[in-house]
Amino acid sequence: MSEPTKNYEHEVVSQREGAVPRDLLIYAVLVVCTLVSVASSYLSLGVANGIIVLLIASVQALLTLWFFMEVRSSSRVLQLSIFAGIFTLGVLFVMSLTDYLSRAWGSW
Amino acid sequence: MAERALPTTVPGAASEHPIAHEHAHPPYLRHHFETVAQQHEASSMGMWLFLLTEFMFFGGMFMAYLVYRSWYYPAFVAGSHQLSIVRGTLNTIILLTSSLTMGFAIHAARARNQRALVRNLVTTLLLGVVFIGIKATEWRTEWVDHHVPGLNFSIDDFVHPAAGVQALPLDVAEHVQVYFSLYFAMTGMHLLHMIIGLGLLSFLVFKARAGAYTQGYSASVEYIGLYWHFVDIVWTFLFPLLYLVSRHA
Amino acid sequence: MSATTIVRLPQQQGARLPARNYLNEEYGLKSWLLTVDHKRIGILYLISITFFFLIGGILAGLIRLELLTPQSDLVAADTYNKLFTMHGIIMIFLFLVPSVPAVIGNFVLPLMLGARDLAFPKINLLSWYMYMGGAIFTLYALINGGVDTGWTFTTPLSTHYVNTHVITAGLGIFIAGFSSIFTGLNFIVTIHRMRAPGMTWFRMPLFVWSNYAASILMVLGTPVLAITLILVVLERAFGIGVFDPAKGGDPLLFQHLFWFYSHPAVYIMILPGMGVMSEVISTFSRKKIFGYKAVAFSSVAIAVFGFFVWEHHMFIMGVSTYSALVFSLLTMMVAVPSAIKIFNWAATLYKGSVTFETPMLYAFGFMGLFTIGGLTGVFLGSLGMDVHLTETYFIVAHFHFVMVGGMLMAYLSGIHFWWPKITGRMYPEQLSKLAALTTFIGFILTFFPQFLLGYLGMPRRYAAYPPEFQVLNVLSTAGASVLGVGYLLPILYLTWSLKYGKIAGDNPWQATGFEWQIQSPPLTENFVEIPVMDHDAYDYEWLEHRTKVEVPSIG
Repeated sequence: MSEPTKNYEHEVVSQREGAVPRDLLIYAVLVVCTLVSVASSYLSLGVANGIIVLLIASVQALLTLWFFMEVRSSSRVLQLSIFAGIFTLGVLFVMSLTDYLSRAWGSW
Repeated sequence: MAERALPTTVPGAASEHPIAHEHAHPPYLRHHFETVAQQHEASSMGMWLFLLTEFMFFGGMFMAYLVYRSWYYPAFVAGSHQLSIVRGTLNTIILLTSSLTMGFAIHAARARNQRALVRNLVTTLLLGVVFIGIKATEWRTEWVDHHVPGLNFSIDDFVHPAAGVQALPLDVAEHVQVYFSLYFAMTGMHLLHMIIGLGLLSFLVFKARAGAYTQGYSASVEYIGLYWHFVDIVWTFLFPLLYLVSRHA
Repeated sequence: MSATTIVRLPQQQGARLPARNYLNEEYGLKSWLLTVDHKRIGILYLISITFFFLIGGILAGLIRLELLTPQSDLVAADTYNKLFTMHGIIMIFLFLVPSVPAVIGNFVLPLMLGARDLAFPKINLLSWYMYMGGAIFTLYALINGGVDTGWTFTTPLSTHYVNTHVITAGLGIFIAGFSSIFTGLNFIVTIHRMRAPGMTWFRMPLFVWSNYAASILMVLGTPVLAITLILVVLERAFGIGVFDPAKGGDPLLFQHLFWFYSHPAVYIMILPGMGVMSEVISTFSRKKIFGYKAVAFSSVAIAVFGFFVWEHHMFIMGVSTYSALVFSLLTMMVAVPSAIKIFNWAATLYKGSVTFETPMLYAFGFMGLFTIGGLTGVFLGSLGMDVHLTETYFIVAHFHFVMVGGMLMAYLSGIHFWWPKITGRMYPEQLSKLAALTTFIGFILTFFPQFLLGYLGMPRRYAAYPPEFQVLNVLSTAGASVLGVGYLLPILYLTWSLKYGKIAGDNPWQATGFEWQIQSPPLTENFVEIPVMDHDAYDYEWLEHRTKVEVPSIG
């Protein structure tokens, strides 16, 4: 392997030979995920339909984040920030749902 | 503001080593940062925080979607069936490809390969334009079919549907308008961000052709790349939620 | 009252401001409007928000004048609706939210950390222009007839039933929200990446911790407000149906999204003020803050818990009672970190060498009034009490106690504390103490009767009320006049001090902190040499040692 190019002192550049094939592999996985997602929606699976497509979308998002957006090599602070964002949105969803899901309960 | 001579080392600090002389004050080092590494870490963090705000911004619309899909599922199914699965899947793959080429562009910038950088940036840009073109045809279809909420929405298609499709009761048919409201709000907001992204990419192409990002500091390409990937991730969620609602029915 | 003071000024005869500082570095309008110096941007914000405070104050004056009499006789009911709406929008979004972070934080944060500027100076300038853009939209709405929905824009009133400038005002707040986001983003990156060598997280001044927590709220919460306002604008402009019951929409969805931001917004407003309190109370008791880590962590806890309680603004709106119980419990819990701070400040005062300069007078006012306001918030968090008290003047009194008695006093405390650093001059002490006292008395007279009014059943946002409430309303209006004087005085004497105030020198309060070890006003680049932090925060022994060793500055 040739000497990796150094930019801005401490940064080691992506190894040229390794980067492209890996990206192509991730890309292929992402496209396959999309096609699987489309196919699954044509099956009659009830509630599971929605869950499956969302799960696949989450996997695609995670792959993009981890590899294309290079979260895998980022600092702890950045990873925590991403988690904080997901958590906050989760709070919005889950706690609003406590209202929407329980409105019809009981006779109150 | 007048330039001041700054110390290149921090007095008393144990861990810092002096910057190599040919990079003592590179032109891209902003004067309020001590080292290029600090500038890069700070700028990267800034871009990620901005993406976090975008995440919360779209998140509000996803909340609305969550509520109304749980309330009006049959209406959402009917609305989703109006969308073209072919154009939607094609657009998804186009965006994924543009993410790939954007990644290639970043590698090229880091490897100081100007031709590859420009080539990949232009490819990404073109793919984005194609995406918008296909989206525009979809929106036109909605307009022609009278599915645009507030402007020309008609429940006719759902109450008197084509042969082989079950007709919806009146109130369910009315609720399809809510589905389309969310469809236009979400894809519209996504489209707006795509257009901004194309603007940013054009700016990158213009500067890259002048050799800006292949001199050892490719940060701008990376940050705009992050933005582009983020817009792609938003679509990754929009696609199944809008196009793939129970296609088997 | 003790006659001692810790103020130590340089000898006034022959004293001058430093020859080179950020104020005389460059002259001309362009050098201000295109500046990227965080200190100048802080001053731009100071001028803008003071202007809008005056407008908001005039609107408040009109409200109180109308409420002198039970009938709606000064203004029509529709106009009254516009008065309280514009008062709320201006005071919250154009004054309170940017007050401490954008004025004091912008100026002082890099200095406290030992940095030359914030991480993104141009984004900082952009944030001021976004503020001005939002402000202009809001002014336009005001001049063209105003908005009358209440600052809360509740649907479907705002989307279907009024024909006022909801879209303009909504867009104005949307734009101003970017100002908040950019400020918060800047602060977070600066605090993470630009601290001086040796400045660990637990050696930072507590002001930084508070602003850090507020910045997290700004970055995560404001975008949700942004999308909510966009949806309201779309609903109003195109009738898309997302909040329209006739089309299947849920008006309560608007409230969930709106309050998801607007509750953390109150913590965005108060946390920086609490940061000021830590600095001021420590300095004027000559003692380090009791329980540094508790205060630091409580800031973060307020930020985190602040996201869990928004539904307590919707208890009577038709939400499920089960969810209301959950949110009520969480609301009780969110009061705890705030209380921890009050206890720690009180413990700091205990056995400290307390002196009563103006910033400290405001701090004492804060501690008492914020405690009352906070406790009444706990009353409101209790579901049964809220059903009786919500949408009455009890709520109005509650939030004015925390926001005006709390936050505005903290802001004034901070302005008076850092004024010598910002301008190099001192303000007249007797007059400033008089103003602080006037504010305190005026405040209590204005807002305490409103607790009684609310409990007795007077609804909020009504131009007319039953005659039996008149006495308390007259008391409240009388107090408002006194309060107005109290707020006008600082504007006058602080402006006066720019030319005629005593020269302050580097460290008139003998405070710790990097900002007090450099000249007043500071150089544009802040430090000649980046300092190294080798001691804990609020280390008065370090300060004493340093003062003995150094030649005192004569300005």
